[in-house]
Amino acid sequence: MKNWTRRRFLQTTAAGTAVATVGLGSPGLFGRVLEADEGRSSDRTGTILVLLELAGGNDGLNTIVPYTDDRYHRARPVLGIGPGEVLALDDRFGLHPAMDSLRRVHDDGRLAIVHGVGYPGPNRSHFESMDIWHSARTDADLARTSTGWLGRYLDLAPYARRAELPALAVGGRLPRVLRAARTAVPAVGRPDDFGLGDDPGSPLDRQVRRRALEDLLKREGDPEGDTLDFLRQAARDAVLTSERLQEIAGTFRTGVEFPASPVGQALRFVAQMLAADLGSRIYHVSMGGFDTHAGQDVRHPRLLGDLADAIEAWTDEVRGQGRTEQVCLVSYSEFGRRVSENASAGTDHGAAGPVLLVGGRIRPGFHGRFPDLGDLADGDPKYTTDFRDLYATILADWLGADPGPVLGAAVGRVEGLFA
Amino acid sequence: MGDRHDPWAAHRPPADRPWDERRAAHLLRRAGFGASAADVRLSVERGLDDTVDWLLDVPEAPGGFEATLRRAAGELALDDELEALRGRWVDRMVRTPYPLLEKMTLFWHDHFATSLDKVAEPRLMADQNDTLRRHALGDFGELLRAVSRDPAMIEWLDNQRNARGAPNENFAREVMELFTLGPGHYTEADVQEAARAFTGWHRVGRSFRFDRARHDDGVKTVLGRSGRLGGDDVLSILLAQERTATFLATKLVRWFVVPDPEPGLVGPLADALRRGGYRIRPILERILRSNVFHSEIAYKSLVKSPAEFVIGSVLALGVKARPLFLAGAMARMGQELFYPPDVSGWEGHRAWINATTLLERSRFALDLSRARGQDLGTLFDPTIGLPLDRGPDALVDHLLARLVQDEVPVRVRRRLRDFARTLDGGAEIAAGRWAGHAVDKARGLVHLVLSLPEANLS
Repeated sequence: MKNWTRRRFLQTTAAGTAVATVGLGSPGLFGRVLEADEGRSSDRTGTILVLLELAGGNDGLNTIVPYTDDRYHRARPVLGIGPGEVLALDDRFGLHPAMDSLRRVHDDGRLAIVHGVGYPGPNRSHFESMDIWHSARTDADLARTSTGWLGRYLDLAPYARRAELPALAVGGRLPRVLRAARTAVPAVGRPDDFGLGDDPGSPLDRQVRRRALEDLLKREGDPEGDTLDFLRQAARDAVLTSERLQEIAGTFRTGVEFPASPVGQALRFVAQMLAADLGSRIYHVSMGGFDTHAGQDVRHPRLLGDLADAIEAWTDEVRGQGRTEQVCLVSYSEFGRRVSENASAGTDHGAAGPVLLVGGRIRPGFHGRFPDLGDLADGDPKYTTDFRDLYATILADWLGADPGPVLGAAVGRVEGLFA
Repeated sequence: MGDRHDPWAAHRPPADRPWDERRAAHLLRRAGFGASAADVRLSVERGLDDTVDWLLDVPEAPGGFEATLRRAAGELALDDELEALRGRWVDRMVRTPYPLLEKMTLFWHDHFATSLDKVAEPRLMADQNDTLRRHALGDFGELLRAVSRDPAMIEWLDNQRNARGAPNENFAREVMELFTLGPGHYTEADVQEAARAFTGWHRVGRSFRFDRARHDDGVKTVLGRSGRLGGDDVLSILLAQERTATFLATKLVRWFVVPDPEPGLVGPLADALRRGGYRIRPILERILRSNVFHSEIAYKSLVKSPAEFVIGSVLALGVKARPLFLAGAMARMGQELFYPPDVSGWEGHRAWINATTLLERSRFALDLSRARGQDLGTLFDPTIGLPLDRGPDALVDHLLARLVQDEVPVRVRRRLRDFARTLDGGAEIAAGRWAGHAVDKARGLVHLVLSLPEANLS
């Protein structure tokens, strides 16, 4: 009978420091503060990447609309955006009419669009395709248990060993893209509500409780790698997080009005963290709702409107912080949608789609080649840029890192994406 | 007589590891949401076998309890439909004499994750909840067929719009990927063909309606089987796949036993599920009586879900709490009933834990223990059931035993005793005067103990 003894949940690095495994990440924020006295640095000059993920499969064809292409209009009698409605960016493509905030960003020269980003053998499962995009592994089985491409970047990046907070995921769960073998990346939810609370009916002093909690949660002995150890680390960091985030929220000042939408507030939170100069170089934000199998004519405009408004507020804020050249926001989705609409005024899961880049030192305008709508694969546009080539470009030309160890086999580049 | 080395053989507590309070608490936590001190003691008296018998003793139609709930729902006086929906389910979880039934209903709510966000009609979600409960301990095949016809599910996965000539693949894909086979065990062609089989599976109001006129009854091929397949045929094909039993058995083991089971462990259970015609109750019985379930490896190997943390705390302390307050706390901890994050449900285990959710758990513990909790909807009376007249050490020991089965390091116990013995400035409270501080200290200790990492282990 097979031995089903307890698995070890932690791996040890060469240095003998126990860390969370692939697939888990540390739940805490400032854990290392309690560990050793490593000199902390906040590198104000390092470039910063913000990933804005559109979850559900954004319909790229109605975002960056090929409004002069007959085949697009024939396939979408209900959902098609006509030349009269589109916000034309040039004589072939335009933005969905709901996105005039984004058109302003474009007019400021801050928007780049890469056409037709995807990969061979497109996977139309949300979870698998997202795993593929996050891990940069096109085999879904490998992707499912893999580290993230940015997790691997963090594990190799010297700044990540020194920064107080190398990367941050906004939202309740740590996305696979930031799962690393050796780097603690926290997932933080609602940032504004981080007090430890008071009991108005009790004379017990809050500081006394906090001190007691901190004492109770001190690390004890060698980590055993089990669930309890994981919880201990998490608890310790949670208390520290609480204090630090309150501090940060307390000192943040801005004139920019971020939209009340979840994506607007998430970007506002990223802006707060940016202003706090913690040395983070990677942020991840996710916006849901893009799985528009039905009623896309009603739902998609709202989503795109929220997205555009949030991005505009973001660019204003980043400009106000004097960081326009320093921060690049990249928006992608796990797949596009089929060219032909379905009978429910919606579209089904597709394959390749556009990736938007905002700010930083992008060369504004279109990059890559728009797929030929006359040469589809299974009803979907064929990809013309492999997403791994885009990642390699971001790693090499934006983050200043060698793509080889992160992405493995020889990858190409999206030439001229960054100035 | 069970084989001690067979993980699934029936466990007989040996003399050196007798059936005691910690082991009883484990069973009641896993099979339900936790238990009061009295229930734990009762389980110790009755023994493992009797306790499992009691847990499995769920009538087909629990009439008496339903009547109790209806009266309670009246008391709740909730106007908002969503509040009513949530409040009633949480109330049921707290009061139920059939915790295993509610635990399994929650399991199925996660498995067939459907969100009110898109369904938009609370009544449909209530109907789905009833359907899940009706079949929770029954036959998975029947449950699958019932859920496929469920109006909320039909809306959720767009089957309402799936019609001949205009297929919508959403339901067909997820029924394979998430409800039966798991990812990677079917092809795109299977999804497309299965979608055709489910055309016409629509709803009108709160009822299922098979719209024959919009059904594609042409020949289809799914997973190698061809014919004029209808929806039920596809479901039968899915149930006939070996893979389905493995997928389901793995989920059950991850939910009840250990977070990361080896395939070798799941295998025999999957076989039993298959041979037993996918009847759930016998599998649960097997699990709850098994060696592996009662082993030290399974013991406290799981992270409590928000439901277990919230309801378990309420039961353990005998707190009175408004169901909506509890539901809100669960939502802030990442488990919003009727709003799973997506169709794959809640990831669970360690994914419940991050800086935000842990602080929410601590804040909930504070709220639960408050002196003026009525404003929030909690009523914790430390003078009931706690030894307040035996000094600080006894109080600490009692709470540690009751809330975390005494399983904390010496250092933690000492620190808690320090807290219990001293004034805010650090001076020790004189023995004769401690009784005057006992109630406040009890509140503070409940907050601190429930904020311990140990309090999150199931």
